This record gives sequence, C-alpha cells and structure tokens, in this order.
Amino acid sequence: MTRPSLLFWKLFLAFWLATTLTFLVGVGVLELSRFRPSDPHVEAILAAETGLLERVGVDAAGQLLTVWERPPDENIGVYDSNGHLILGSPVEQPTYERAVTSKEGLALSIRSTHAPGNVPGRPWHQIPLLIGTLMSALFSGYMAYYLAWPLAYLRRAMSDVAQGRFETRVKPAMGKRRDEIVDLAEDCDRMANQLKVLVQAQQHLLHDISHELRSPLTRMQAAIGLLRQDPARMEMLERIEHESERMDTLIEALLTLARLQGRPESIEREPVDIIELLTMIVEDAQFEAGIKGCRVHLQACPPFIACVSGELLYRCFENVIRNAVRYTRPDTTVLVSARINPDASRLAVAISDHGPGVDNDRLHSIFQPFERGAGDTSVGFGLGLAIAARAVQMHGGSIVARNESGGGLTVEVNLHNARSLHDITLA
Amino acid sequence: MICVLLVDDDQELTEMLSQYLAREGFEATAVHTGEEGEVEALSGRYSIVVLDVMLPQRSGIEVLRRIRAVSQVPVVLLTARGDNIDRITGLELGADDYVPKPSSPGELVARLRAIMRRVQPVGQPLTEVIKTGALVLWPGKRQALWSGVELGLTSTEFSLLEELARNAGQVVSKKDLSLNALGCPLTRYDRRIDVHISSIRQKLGPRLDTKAWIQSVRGLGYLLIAE
Repeated sequence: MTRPSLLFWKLFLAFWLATTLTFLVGVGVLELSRFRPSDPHVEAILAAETGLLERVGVDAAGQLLTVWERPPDENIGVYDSNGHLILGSPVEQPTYERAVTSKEGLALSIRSTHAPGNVPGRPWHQIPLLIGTLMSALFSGYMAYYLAWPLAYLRRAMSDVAQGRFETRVKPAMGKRRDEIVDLAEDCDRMANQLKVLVQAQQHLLHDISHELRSPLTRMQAAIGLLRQDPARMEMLERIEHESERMDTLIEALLTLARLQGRPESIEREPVDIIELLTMIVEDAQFEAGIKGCRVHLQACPPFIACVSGELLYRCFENVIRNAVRYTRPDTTVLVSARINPDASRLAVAISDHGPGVDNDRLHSIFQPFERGAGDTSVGFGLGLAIAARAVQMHGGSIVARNESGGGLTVEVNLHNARSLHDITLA
Repeated sequence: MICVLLVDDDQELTEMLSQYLAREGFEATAVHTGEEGEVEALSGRYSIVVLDVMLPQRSGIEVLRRIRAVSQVPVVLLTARGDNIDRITGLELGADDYVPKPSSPGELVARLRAIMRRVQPVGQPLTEVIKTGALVLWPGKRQALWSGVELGLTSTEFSLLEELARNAGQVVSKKDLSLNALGCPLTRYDRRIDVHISSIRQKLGPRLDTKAWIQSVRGLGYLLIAE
C-alpha cells in the first residue's frame, strides 16, 4: 500500500477510540471503587481529636474516642513516638496519618483507616495505562489495515479497469482470505472480463462496419475513376447510385441492429396476429422467389395473437424467409410452417429451404453480425439473421438453425404469446 | 505492356479496376482468393502484384509472406485506411508500397508507375556500377552484391540503397529519399522509409563495431557509412 487510505485512518481511529475508551472506563471504574468520597464524619472526629489532643490533653482525647460510635470498619488510633497504641483502636493500614503534639508535650500521631477526604490516594499507575493505549493502537491498526487494504487494492484495480486495462485481476492478490470482500473482488474480476469481451465485440463490430462501408466506397471510387477516363460511360453513374443505395441499406440495417441492442422494455408493443404477419411476408416473398423459379409455401395454423412489436417481427421473418429464398436451389419450395403448442401459449415457425445448408460449426455464428455464407461477398451484409435473432430475443423467444438430413437449412423461431412485459421477463 | 496481377475478393471492384488499368496501359488479370493469388504471383507472368490485405481464408499478409519467401516481384498492398498494423507488417515483410482503401484508381496507377520506374529505369546503361565499401550495385540490372554475396533486395529497397550509395558518407534527407527512391513526396506520419531502411539494415548485418551500416541522423535523414 502506497499511502494509508482515508478509510484506514477512519477505521483505525474508530477502533482505537473504542478500545481505549473501554479500557479507560474500566480503569476509571476500578479507581472509583477504591476511592471513598470524603467522609465528613471521619473528618469531624479527626479534627476534634486533634483539637482535644493539642488543647486539652490525652485523657480528653481518649474519652472522645471511647464515646465515638464508630462504624465497624472504621478505626482511629493515637500512637506514641515509639509506635505503641495509646488511645482508640489499632490501625493496621492507615490511609491517614498526622503528627500531633499533645498539651502534655508528647509527640503523637493520629492514624485512621479512613481518610477525611481531599487526601491523595495511591497514585494512578501510568505504565499499565500507556501499555493499554499502545496495545489498543496496535490492534486497531491491524484491524483497520485488514479491512481497508483489500478495498484500497480493489479501488486501484477498478480505476485500472476504468482506464481500459481489462486484464486487471483482483482475486489473486487476496490470497487465501475468504469473506465478502473476496466475493466482491471475484465479482469485479468477472465484470472486468465481461467488459473485455464486450469491448472486443464492439471493436470487432466497428471493424466489420468500416470494412463493409469501405467496399462500396472503393467501388464508387473505381467507378468515378472510369467515368473520369471516359465521360461517355454513363453506366458508371448507375453503378455509383447502386453503391450509394447499398451503403444506405447497410446503415439502415445497422441502425435497426443498434435499436435492438437496447432492453426489451424499450420497444413498443401491440397485439399482433403473427400468422397474418407471416401470410403478408410470404406473399411478398413469392414474387422474389418467382424470378428464381422457386415457390414459398405457408403451412398456417389458427391465429396466434401476441403482444409484440409488429415491425421488428416483420423484419425478423422477412429476413429469414428472404434468406431462405436466396439460398434455396432453383425450382424448389421454401416451406414456412407455423405450429401452436396444445395449450396455445407458444408458436413455433420453421423456415426450411433446399439450399446448401451451413457448416455445423457455423450454425450458431450465422446469427452474429457480418457472418455470411463463404464466397458470398456480393449479396447482403450478413446482418439479416443477426437482426432476426436480436428481434426474437427482444420478445423473449429463441431462434435456432439446423441442417436437415435431406439437405437444406431450417431456421426455427419460437415465440410465446406474452400479453405483457411481465410475461416476457418471466419467460 | 505491363502485366498487373490484382488479388482482391471483390469481383465488381477488380472488374472496374481492370478496365481502368487497361486504359492506362496496363494489362490486368484478377484473381479472387489468396491461394490463386500466390500461385499466379509466382508464375513469373506479372511485373507487379496488387494484393488486398483483407482476403477471406488466406490473408493478404500471409500471401505476401509466401511470395517473398521465393520471389522479389514488386507487391503493392491494398490496406484499409487507418489500419497501420497491416501497413507496417506488410512493409516489413517486403511489400514495395501500399495504397489505402478507399482511394481513387488514379492513386493506384501513380504508385504502380512509380514502382515500375524504379524496376525498369529508362536510359540507365546496364554497365553502370556504384561501388562503396563492400557494396556493389548495378542499377541497370537491379543487382546488389555485399562482399560478393547477392543481397536479395526488393525493388524499393534497392532504390533506397542506390540513393544512399550514390551519396555514401553524406546524410540524405528523408524528403529526398522519398522523392528520388520511392517516386512520391514525403507525407506526414509516413513510416515507409523507416520500415524499408530497417529491412535493408537487417540484410546488410552489423558493422564490426556493432553499429549499423546505415545510420539514422535524427531530424535529418539517413547516411550510408563509406569505407
């Protein structure tokens, strides 16, 4: 630790004050129990005894002590210079002693078991006090360090993460310790790792986007170059137009994808009959399929009404179906079949084509942005299935792709008829 | 007619570039994968290769590495604008130049011409010899011997070394090196010369006093030590 943190000092002071106060109060109680409050009774008796000895004589003083109704634990005695008791009762351990010269001229001393007050008792012991305070400081220091050190380390690690050093790990520095602080460290490590993955994905995406935008730009540059060479080549203008449209389509698709990165709550929903939606898309796709000599067939089922974003699901199914039409062999049929499960809570839509299918290890990755068929550079950007997958996930559904044994790819979309957002989050 | 090999997976682009190059006096052939590109580049039919870095499967950098293992055919890389790592790696691997994507086909043609001027210098007698220390250069034949051993320089490296050898013992500024050897003016943050020089240094090896034969003079340029 470079410099003790504020937290360290706070904890240290708190612990120290607490332990020192406890210690001091303890010592105080002990001292108080030994200390008797000033006793006016003893004080008066001692004063009278002294007065009588000095002014009247030993006899009178003896009479006073005889008539004095002393409490059982209080003794007052008068001793001569040889230490013999001449008056009163014996005092073994005097807390008060005073030399007096009697009227007769004897050097005497009055001893009392009880002090008349204002008499200093035994001096407070300063050494144990000092040791106690020091010990408590040591203990407090250790406790404060034990608690504050991992937090200070955690803080520095977090600020590292904040500066983009995602490989920072806190857990190893915690050693064998096991407590909530270590749990926190573990969570932080997990967070750093998650951030790293996310940032890498974003950078990857950005890289792909810039590459995708660059390709049409490079072709535009080439077309402009050709037009410069030979201003008569007007078809180059069409090419430039075509490329700019491609860029527009890409940006549109990217914006849709960006919108789908939000939380499910962020999209607007309304009751939509998904079967009706599919019918519309299939009709539109028929035209495109017809050019290729293909057909699109819809195996429909009763209406399935769900609270969804019609626009997003339209894009989703449109992308998947048009994809199927694009890859299916000429003169084949793309089958769109919709099934509702017995309790009418879930809808499964399977879109099957008769195309080449995809490699088994790419069945998951085709739903990632910019993943497209091998050698397929001219058509599409590889965003359609990514948008479809995100749209389905936003509705709490699932999307999977599988190769059919007879050839061709089937993409199956599962949706449930959630009527409210609550149902979606439950699903 | 200069034969150019275009290696790029974008078929529409190569088609347009071929047309453009044809009108500029080049004969362009296009292939669309790294594997084909490597085979064609090594066939000896082409005077210069234009290689896209972003190729599917085998990347352009890998193709360049394989080409340079056996051939010194001039290679111009097409790299994404802003992708400095690709550029530096490409130059270190022996690419002669790079053209950022997207840029105009005119830019590409200018770079191709600059390289071709270096490779096929006009009006240079084949017998001209430059000698300095252990170095012997025949600019006409593009041949360089170092203590009697062939150096195996790329055309760009040869031009740079030639420029330094002509002024051996004197500092040649990066500006002059760029203009005379690379055929284009020096631009800001241009690391091409430094990368090429570092590659030549490796081929020359260290001097006995462990210093490099080509010294960099901070802020001024480079200097070939004359013996």
